[in-house]
Amino acid sequence: MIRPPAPSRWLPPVVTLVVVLAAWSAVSASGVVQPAYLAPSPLEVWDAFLRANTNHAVGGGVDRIVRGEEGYYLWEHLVVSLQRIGGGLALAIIVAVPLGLAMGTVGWFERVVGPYVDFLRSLPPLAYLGFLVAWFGIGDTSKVALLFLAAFPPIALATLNGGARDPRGPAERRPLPRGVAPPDDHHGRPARDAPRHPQRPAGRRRVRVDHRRGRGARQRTARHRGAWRTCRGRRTSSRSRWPASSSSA
Amino acid sequence: MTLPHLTRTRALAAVVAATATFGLSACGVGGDTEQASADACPFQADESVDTTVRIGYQKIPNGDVIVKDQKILENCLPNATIEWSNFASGGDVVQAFGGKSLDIGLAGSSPSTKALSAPLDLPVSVIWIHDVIGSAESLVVRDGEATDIEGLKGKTIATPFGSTAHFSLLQAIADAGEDPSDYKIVNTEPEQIAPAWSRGDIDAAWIWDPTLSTLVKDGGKVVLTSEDTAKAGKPTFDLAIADRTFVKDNPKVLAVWAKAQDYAVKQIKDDPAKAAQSAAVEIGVSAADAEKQFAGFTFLDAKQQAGADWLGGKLGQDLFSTAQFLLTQDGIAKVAPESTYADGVDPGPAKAAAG
Repeated sequence: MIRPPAPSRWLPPVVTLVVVLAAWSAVSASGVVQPAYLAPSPLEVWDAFLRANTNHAVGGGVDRIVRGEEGYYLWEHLVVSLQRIGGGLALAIIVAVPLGLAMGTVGWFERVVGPYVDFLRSLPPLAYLGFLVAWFGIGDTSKVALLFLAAFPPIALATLNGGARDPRGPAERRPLPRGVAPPDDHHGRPARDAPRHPQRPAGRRRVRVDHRRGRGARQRTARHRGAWRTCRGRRTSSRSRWPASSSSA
Repeated sequence: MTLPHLTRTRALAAVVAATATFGLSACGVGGDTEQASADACPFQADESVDTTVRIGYQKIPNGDVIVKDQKILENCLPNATIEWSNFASGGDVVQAFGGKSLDIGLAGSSPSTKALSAPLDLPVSVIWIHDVIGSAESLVVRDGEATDIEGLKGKTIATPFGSTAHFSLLQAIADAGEDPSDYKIVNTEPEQIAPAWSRGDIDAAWIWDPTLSTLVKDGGKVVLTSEDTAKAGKPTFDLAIADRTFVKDNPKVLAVWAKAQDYAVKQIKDDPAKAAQSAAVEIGVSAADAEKQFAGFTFLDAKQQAGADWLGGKLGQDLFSTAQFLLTQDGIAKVAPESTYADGVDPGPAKAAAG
């Protein structure tokens, strides 16, 4: 039998809603905002919502039934808006995610393109709506273009800051001089616990692998890569396994 | 290989969201699907026209909304596609012409003059006078503050800058021999004027309905109207502007359009109750209010309009003086020669409807 949630879970949101509705009704009934149509009560808003979704009499002494608002129901207006949003958002994702990745991986690209993306992000979309209408007309193109331009900079910047950007600092990114081995990254473990991989010496010397010894080395490596430990019966989580690929191999 | 549970849930949610968004685009939304019928046309329908006509309208009580509501164009051009788009102001209509989105639109004389002047220089002509603005735009003063324009010196007057109301206000000040800098004229959008009035921020406003009626109800008195400034020689209008190429290429469409507008004007004069019903539905007021609002305009039928007093000549001069006013308000870059405004008026469709 499923227990209904305890009152301590649902009571606070319900009480808040009741308080908000009461305050709203009080403000609209008090007449502190004039003209009165600027502060409708919750019931008036609900009535307007019902009118917008039904074929209703237009009222005002006119004997006519009209359909919703401007000839369409409210949900039909909503569907059209969602279509435009979907189109603009899809285009923004297609353009912005690769752009964010490019900004994070190619070194100079962010310095070149970043200021323009930041500038576009800071423009209020309604400010350039007039230009878009003048360029693309009053149909859907200008609206989808507006939604694209509004969505694309935040998505690009989120992609960049969320993971595409190289987390190493500038000191670590600097290329090493020739002949210097990269610092041995033991992945946070003490060096003496590191698996004994054959270390490739720095530089271009070719190492001749003795295949007999290679076989043993491969077996030892396999053991240390966790297969042996598993066979011994100890549970190994992914955290206790050394990473399968190593930058020094 | 199965994904961990959270990744699977997220993936599923993303797929559902994407499907919903793109699947909705297959959803068509339906409006009114009344069939147009040539028999319902009040004059001879033209079934040979099959073009698309894109019309921009505003919610003003004149013949245009009657033509829209009674579907006169749909019935009289049964094989054409008529698209109506609503705009909040003449400035938005002119912007849509700039985006090449409209063929015919309704705009006041101020935005129409802007369209014909630099920097816009749009290829449009004025083809019809929807109405001459009379008491529909008026100067409302707080009761007790002043009884004429001189008494308002130093007081705050609100009006939307660049509009026909603004033009009328400045002309009224000039006609009274006063200097506009003696008055505190503030640029306010129509929706902001009523709240500012009730808070006591403004003392007067030159504005149109529905704000005008709200202010009058809230302790305001009408002191001057656009009818007075029109009589003093500075009229303001609601005009129909049309793309010049469209007018040249579609004389049949324009002839039917002008006949429909002529029919609507005659209905306002002869059967105001029926006209008020259509206007009320389109504008969102009661039928009684719509009939009252008709009284605030002067309507001209095709025969009157085609004459020299209006489209035949004087309108070009009125647009020129509007351009001179707009230059002082930084509304246009420079005033074009008077012939530009005279050439920007095309009495052809009105003559076709009158003859």
